[in-house]
Amino acid sequence: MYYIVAKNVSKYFSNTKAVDDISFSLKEGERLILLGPNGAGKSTLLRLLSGMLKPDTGYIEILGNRTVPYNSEISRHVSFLGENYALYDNLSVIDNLIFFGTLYEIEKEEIIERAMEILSRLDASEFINRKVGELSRGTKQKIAICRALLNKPKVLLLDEPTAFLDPHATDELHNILEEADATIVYATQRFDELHKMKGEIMLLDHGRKRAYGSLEQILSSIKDINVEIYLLNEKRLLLRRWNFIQKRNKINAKLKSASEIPELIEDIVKEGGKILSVNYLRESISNEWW
Amino acid sequence: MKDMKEAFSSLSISGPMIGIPIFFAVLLPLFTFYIARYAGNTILPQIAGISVPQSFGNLYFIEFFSINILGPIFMTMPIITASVLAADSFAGEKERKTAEALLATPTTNVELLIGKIFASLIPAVLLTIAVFIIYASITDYLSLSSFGITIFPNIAWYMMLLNSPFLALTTIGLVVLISTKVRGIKEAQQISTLLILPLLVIPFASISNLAKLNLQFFIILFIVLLISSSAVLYLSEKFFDRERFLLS
Repeated sequence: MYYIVAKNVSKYFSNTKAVDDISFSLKEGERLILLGPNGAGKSTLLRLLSGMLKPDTGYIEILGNRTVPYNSEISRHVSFLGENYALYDNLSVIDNLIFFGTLYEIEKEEIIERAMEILSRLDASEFINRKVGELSRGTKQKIAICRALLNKPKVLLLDEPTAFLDPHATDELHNILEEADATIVYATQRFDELHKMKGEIMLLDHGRKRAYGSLEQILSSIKDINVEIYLLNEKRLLLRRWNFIQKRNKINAKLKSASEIPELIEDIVKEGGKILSVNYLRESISNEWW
Repeated sequence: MKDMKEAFSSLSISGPMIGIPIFFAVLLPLFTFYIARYAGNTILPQIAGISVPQSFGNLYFIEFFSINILGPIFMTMPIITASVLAADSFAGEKERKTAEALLATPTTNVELLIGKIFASLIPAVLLTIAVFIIYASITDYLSLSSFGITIFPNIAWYMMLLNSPFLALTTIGLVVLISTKVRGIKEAQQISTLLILPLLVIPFASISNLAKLNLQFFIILFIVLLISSSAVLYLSEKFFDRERFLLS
């Protein structure tokens, strides 16, 4: 059974096509990463999947039910975390969680127990009795993540959940998601998350699907791999074999495939360059599609 | 409970919720009594068009003034409080960007509307009753100590109290209707408080003998409010659209 089916979904805002003819389907436990710059249509697509917005064309089915007209039975098994933390600033963390948990008909004791478990993992349990308005943006995001996980959703829709999170909390969130049974649609514009999340990737731009598949498939379809290498030193390199530009300690090289990267690094090291970091996902993908 | 807790922890809500009752319950009876004591006999024939014996003039003035002038003003209270609370409850969800999380829950439109309507209606009505009790107690204390007679309760004020939940409901229904069109709390409040205007005409109509605030008047008002609040609430449920609420 497909947990999510989106068929030729489009959404217009006035004359702007926010989502343009998107189709995909996910089975139980499958994950989809929506990757795209600002305005790519990621948030709108997630809102459409949650049933908050109605598609102008096409349809969406969640757990076998159409999202239009609004069906509260779907929402019972779906969680949505938007780009805003969407908590009540004047209420305490626990009051917020009890309020939202109650809307999912979860018992108060279970809400508290589950909240403590999730917040402990995200290093935020100490804030449980504090007013949300007093907390940092990162902590608010942790509380919002906790809210989204309270109902043990079958379908989890996350819009840039790691925005504002510190590296430890980011890793812990990925661990939590890895352990979850949910079917997840995860929107991000952070390329470093592509290797942390397992699943298919959909590249979006101006509401349109530009590429779809595993990370490997996407990389293999790129004509030129653009590598960005930072050196610890500013050693001037010759690297005659390679098509590259060096500015101080930064090297930008254009390769035919990702498999050439180890050879390039080997040559840099041979010439005395000390490698600080190697990135090629962001440069290659954005150069190819955006 | 969430809405009430949140609303009363915000100064922009609790401020008017404390200030307005103080004005209605304490300042108005003192003001009335002051005028009655020093100018009741002079003003009464001019505003009520009647002449009573000197010894009853001040007392009659208080009664006339409290029903015909202060009564309609008092009836604006459920409108003001309901509009402040309802605007915070509905338009506030959009302004604070919490609407998205709320709409993502399994709460149906009817559940959402009922929850929010009661969260605004109950405090507005309770506050109105509390203010009436304080107002009546202060007025009765002053008139008893000066004239040896109490004014409240009387049938006109009972009828005004009976009408107050429907005034609040009409206001809340209007806020729900416009909450899909406005961006924030202030706009919702400003539009909904337009309901006050017809009430403010009543004292002038009363003074100029165009309307008499008697039992018949209040029964007609009750029927009008019953119909209007039912109609506005029906329309607000019928036209409530989650997408429009989120995007406007």
